[in-house]
Amino acid sequence: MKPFDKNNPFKAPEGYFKKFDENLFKKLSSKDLAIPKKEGFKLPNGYFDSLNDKLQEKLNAEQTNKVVPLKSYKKYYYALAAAAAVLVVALIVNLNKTEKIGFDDLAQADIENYFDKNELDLTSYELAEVMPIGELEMTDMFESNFSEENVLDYLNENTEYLDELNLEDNE
Amino acid sequence: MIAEETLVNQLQQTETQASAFGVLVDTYKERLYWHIRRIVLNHDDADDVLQNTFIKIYKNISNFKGNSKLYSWIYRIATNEALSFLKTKSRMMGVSDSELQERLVENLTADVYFEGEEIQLKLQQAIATLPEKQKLVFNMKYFEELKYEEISEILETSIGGLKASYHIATKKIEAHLKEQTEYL
Repeated sequence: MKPFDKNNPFKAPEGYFKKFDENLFKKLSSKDLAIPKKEGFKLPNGYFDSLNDKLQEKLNAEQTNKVVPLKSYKKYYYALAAAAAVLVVALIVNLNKTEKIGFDDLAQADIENYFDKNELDLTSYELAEVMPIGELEMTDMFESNFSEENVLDYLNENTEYLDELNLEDNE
Repeated sequence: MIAEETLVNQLQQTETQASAFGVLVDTYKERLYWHIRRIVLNHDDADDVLQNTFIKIYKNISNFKGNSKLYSWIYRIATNEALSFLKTKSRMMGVSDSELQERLVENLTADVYFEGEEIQLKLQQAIATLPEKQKLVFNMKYFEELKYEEISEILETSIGGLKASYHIATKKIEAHLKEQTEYL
């Protein structure tokens, strides 16, 4: 084996081998760190020191002023349940109640309407039997008051046999 | 550090509740803040959501039965709070979820609490394109450095599913960044 040539024409920078390891590891680590580890976020000075006090204040404020939640429906649920119960009871009571309807409950107009629309097949005599004629007054038959004179004039003109009317006072 | 079980017991006892709650806030405030901030992006929104998260924890600690670990229960509350905050925001603005994501990233350029360079902005744009689940998994694994077992408990998803989601998310982000830098 030939001995090394003592006259090496190549030169390396001063301290190159001393710094080689350092440079190699620097390069290796920079390859690993394709994604930076530094994020750039900052925060106000003394932020963490004041955090405990801020939290305590907030907790105290919450405990002294018990906040009523805006959407507290609980009380409405109770009210709604109570109202529903009352409604059910009322409906049951009303369904079981058979109210007796009397003649007095009928409106006068309904009665008149009934007589108008239905053929009663009652003769004047039959009606006279049930109608208390003796207690009737002329004004019960007419809504407007007629003077006795006008009535007599009408009868005089329109009745052939005035005597048949048996008007004793006018005889 | 106080044992989780002891802390839960103290939180559920009226006499010890206040001091235990202080311990809980101190233990989780930074971790939860960054978890929420990566979802909502803006500091003020993150602050609101973080406070609401702790108040919810305080009010519901009596219902914590210990079926899961305390930290996963807490993280779950924080995640749900942040996601529902964004849902409300998009509804109020009358925009879709993806439109809201775009706007949130656009707003970062004018945000005084964001000092990222071009690459950080591109990263946020890339993350914003991911579906909700992949976004959560990527942030929790890559930035928060949580274990798959922990993420699995928080998101109630199988470890296999999480690994797949993370792999897909990483590939998508890398592709997005590569594409963006080629245009630069």
